Amino acid sequence: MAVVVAAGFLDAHMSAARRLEARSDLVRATETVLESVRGGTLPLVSGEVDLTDEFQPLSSIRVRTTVAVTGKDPQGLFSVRVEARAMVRTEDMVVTITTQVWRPQ
Amino acid sequence: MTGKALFTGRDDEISLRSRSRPRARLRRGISANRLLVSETDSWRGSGGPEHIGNGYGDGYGNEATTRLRPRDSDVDRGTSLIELLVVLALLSVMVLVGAQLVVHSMELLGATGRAVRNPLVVHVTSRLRHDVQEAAGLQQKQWVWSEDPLILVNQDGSFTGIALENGSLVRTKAAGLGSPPESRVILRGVAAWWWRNPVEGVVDLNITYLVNPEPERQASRDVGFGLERRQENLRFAIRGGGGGTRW
Repeated sequence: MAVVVAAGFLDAHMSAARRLEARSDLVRATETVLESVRGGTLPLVSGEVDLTDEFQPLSSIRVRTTVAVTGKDPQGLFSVRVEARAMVRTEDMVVTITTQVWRPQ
Repeated sequence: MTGKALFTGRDDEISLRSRSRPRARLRRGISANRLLVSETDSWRGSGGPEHIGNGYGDGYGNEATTRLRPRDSDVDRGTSLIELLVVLALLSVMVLVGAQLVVHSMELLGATGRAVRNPLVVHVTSRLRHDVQEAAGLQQKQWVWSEDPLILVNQDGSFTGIALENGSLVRTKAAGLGSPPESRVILRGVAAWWWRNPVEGVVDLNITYLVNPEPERQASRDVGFGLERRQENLRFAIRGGGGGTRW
């Protein structure tokens, strides 16, 4: 019984560490997408983003990023919602950053 | 229903038998229980037997009650070889799993102690993020990856340089051309430093540094002290120019 309980604790520790590492990767991926949009590397349109060249996660996860752009008032102001998603073990982790981008014509 | 009621009318006969052969009757086991209780009652009623058993009784039947238990040979008949082997197999499995758990725990403990000494790269990336995003531009544009120092021009006309020197990432701040620079190491154990600006106003940074492996990684289970290369890929938009499209 003690062996089983101890093994459970170890597994929980590793699982928590993996989730933390994955979350850090998701935050960095989100920031990379957002900075790319701000800098003009990525167009200011909604859709999925492929970060193969710009971003490599530290952990062994596959990150999927999407951008949702919504026009706001005044004209030239946009609400940008960047979402990074990855499967960590059986858990679907999502990190989202919503900000505004000023892009006057 | 008591034994006495069962054998009503035969108490005298039973008592006579028990007096003559008390030991033999008591060894008949559980089936004789009621009968013996009846015998005991009979003895009490008649003053009890003079002496029965092997001398350890009190003369009132207590010895008889004690000896009604099943014989030792029926209870402690020992363990068979198969039972012994099963127990040994279970113990072996438990010891094996427990030993593996202890070994892994010790490795985890050691790796955790080493990983604690890793540099806090989040502070370095925060510093770089602030420097690049607050800059007004670059002194030298580089479309492809370069190992040269990254020199940022700040809004107040000062310069901030990031360069790799002797395995350390050094941040240099200068108020202007010709003014004495102020240098500070912001990260040690850097194996590689690359930067580029793929489009106007965007800076990509690539820093490779050495750290102790994380405890959870498979590499941490290796014997010895092995460093691991980690790579940080950062992209920042320069916003210090103001009034542009970077906000």
